[in-house]
Amino acid sequence: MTEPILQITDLRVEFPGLVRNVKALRGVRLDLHKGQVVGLVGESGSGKSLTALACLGLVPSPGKVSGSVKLDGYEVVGRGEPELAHLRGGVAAMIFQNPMRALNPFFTIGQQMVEVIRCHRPFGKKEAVQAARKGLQDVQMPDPEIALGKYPHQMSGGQIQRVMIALGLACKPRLLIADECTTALDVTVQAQIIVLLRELASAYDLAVLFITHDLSVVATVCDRVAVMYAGEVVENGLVVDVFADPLHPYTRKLMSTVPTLGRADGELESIRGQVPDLALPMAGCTFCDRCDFATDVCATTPPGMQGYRADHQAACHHTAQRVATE
Amino acid sequence: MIKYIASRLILMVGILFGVLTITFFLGRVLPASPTNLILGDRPTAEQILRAEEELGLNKPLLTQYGLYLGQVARGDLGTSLRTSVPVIVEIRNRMGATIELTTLAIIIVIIIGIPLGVLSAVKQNSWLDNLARAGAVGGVAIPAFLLAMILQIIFYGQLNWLPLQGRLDSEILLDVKFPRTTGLFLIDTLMAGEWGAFKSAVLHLILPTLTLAIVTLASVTRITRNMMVEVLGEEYIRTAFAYGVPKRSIYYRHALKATLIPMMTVIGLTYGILLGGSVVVEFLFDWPGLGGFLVLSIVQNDFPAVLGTTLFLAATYLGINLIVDLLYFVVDPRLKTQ
Amino acid sequence: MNANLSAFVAEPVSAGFWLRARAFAVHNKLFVVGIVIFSIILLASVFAQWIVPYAPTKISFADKLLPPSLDHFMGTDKFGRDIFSRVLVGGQTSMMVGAFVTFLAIAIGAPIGVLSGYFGGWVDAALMRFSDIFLAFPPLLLPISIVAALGPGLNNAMIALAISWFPWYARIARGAVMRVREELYVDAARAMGVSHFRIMIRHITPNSLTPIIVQGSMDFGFTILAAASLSFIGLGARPPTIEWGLMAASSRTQFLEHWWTALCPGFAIFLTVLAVNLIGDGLRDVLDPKHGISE
Repeated sequence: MTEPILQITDLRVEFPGLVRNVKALRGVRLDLHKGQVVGLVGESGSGKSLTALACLGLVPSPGKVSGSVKLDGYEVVGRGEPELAHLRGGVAAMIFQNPMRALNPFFTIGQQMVEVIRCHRPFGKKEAVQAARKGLQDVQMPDPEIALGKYPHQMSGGQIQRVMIALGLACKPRLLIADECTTALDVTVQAQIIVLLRELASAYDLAVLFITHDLSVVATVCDRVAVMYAGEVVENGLVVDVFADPLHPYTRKLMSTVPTLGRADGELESIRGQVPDLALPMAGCTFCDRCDFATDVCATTPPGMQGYRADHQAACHHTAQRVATE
Repeated sequence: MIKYIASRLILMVGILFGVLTITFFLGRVLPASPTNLILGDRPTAEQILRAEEELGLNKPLLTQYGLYLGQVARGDLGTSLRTSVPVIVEIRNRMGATIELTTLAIIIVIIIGIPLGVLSAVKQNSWLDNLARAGAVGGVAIPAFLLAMILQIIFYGQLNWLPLQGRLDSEILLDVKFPRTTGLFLIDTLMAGEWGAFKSAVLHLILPTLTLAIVTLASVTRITRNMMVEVLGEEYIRTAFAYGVPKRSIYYRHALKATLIPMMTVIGLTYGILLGGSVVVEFLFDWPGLGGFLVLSIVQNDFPAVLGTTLFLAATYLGINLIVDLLYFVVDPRLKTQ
Repeated sequence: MNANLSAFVAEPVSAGFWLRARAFAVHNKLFVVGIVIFSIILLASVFAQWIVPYAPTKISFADKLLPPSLDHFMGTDKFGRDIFSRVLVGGQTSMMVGAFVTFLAIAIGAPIGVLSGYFGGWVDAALMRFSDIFLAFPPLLLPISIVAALGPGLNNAMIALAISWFPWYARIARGAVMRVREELYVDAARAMGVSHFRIMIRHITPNSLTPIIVQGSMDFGFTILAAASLSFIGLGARPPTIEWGLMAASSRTQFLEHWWTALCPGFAIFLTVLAVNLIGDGLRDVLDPKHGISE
């Protein structure tokens, strides 16, 4: 296996709290290789967006980051600002959730694109403008020339996301991180953007980390999926495997909560209990309180990620038994 | 866009009417003071009646109001009961003093306050930030007259470097003649080549300007810092970081522009506040401007002067606000391209 | 970069009240300082009559214009009166002014705002334009002209200040009502028959109380400053009322050689306003929903 584009090892992020610190990420482990499209799913507060930010060294300042995040071999954790600036966009580019606020309202699209392009490529102004125009064409923006002169408030959410993708690509990164980038869009536009991302990923041989809480999107677009809960990755594997037979109790619950058309039986399922308080220390498995299969060992010993099949792992004590009985 | 400007103008006119009404109300409808000045103490009923007739106070209220509006429209703000000079002339004579003082003060505030606020926000919780914030909190709490008196004690009382009051040394006022073309002594004395007078004007300007500037500086620095901090928390700033734009560029290009545009409103408002708030400072430093005139007129029950000056100052404040509002259209792309 | 972190982290509500209070105090030292100073000043004002070392009106020409000493903590004025005692009593005046003006401004402004927000339409437009007129005057100008019309005196000054200030509270109240109104349309569909008025009263109060409290606490200080300034130029308190601004004004003939006659009452104003501002700032930090990252 070649060197992974993104290698997250034991990533921990802690925020100072009024009384206790909040452990938002508790040892995240994740790898991405070139050309892979990996989905990162979890509910709000599970830490998926924070993981994404940590990849680019963008964790907001009161947060303390420890562990390791390697972008194409470059360590991000603990790196200083000027070097990080080089990595951001140049090695990995991030597309954010809220397009309407993602761009500076006081500058035109063109100005902002040119600025970013010139940060990463040794272009003069004219070349940069050309590159920007070409970038917009690549993302199928109608009338790229006119778009360059527009201000963000004059564009729709979908158009701005295209601009963001173009921006992301313009720096020729090797990894694209899409953080819930379709959540704020209409369903039809969502579909367009997702398809666009997929095409671009294969055209430019990019790795994509697709963060979402929408399982259907993952099923459509991703090759692999990682499931996060309470600041950790609890399951990781190929989409086909994880969807067909989720190993971790949380993932199983997640799959069953998605209503399917045509199946009008039963009530909508939900997971009992609440997301744990991330400020409190937790011995044992984080999902313990809400898990139907919990036993004593779950409350005392944290389960590490255990591989039960080729390339399919889950952080659970009991999965071994289930798989063994197959 | 034209529609918006038009609606703003109409609003302004409406408010101006309201201001006029209030000043009229204050002047004619409230307890009878207008007659005091002419009549002195213990006037007889007959004297009062005659004075009221002269001043038109015995006509029905609505008629008085109409007459008043007509007067103002013609630029006639009444005649000072004290000096018998038309109020508008008194205002014109004293305008320069106030303008000179407040303009200098606001220039200082802009030059020092805004960069300080910006740096404070960029380097949050640094020693600079804490110092600036401490200064701001303190400066806002200090009464202008206390600051003025402290400065007077130090620079006049103890060190005798600067004069106590007034705009010029009395000898210069008497002996040196120079045309009051602009009303701004710094310019007028230079134009006339009177170096002694210029120097005197400068020295006299220092303390009052400093007083006004320091008190205003506190709030402007604070507001700038808060606005900049808010801008820095915006998502598009995070985007800029995420795409590798260097820190300097983010602070001084992206964030600054987003801060300076709303700051325009603050500066405009501050200028207006200075105009009205220089009353205390002018009073203290015996500064022959509009604020001092206002206080003098009040003390002497010179009602036309009081109302005329109030009206003038309020109208100026409104005018500045309107200008700032319209300036937004030139500067803010979100409005420019509606 | 200070992105709002509540987007990432679930809100923990795990520690007891006193633990949080203590942690809060550590994090917001200035707020605590403000409260401490203000409490001292408040107590001193309330009990001024009992703790003054000298009778504040006791004239003694033999002791006139003495510098601060152990005998006379803040020196004496031109009539030989102990300045410290007068400052203490003056505190009563200032506290009363601050409270009264703020209360009156809220009492005038809040109902106007509520009516404005509740009825909407032309009532709203009319009331807001009416308030705008008062906002059209630069800050001290309106109080000055109102006092000019009513005649100088502390009561008139307080009324003048309240009239100049009410528009802020009108706006706040109006905003709160409008926010509740939007939710109300949903509730109204369900809670059929429950008087709107009742719901408004029960829901407005928590909604608008916090911004009004924050605004009020910040205004308290400015009110004291404004009243003192008015007294200084002769439009506010008049003798024999004891007020800090008035004390500074009457020192104008001597303050150059006898700095304490002006600077001591002035410092009292400064300290009080500072304390109040620190409290106001702290309150805003706490009650503002965008407050910090933790609890």
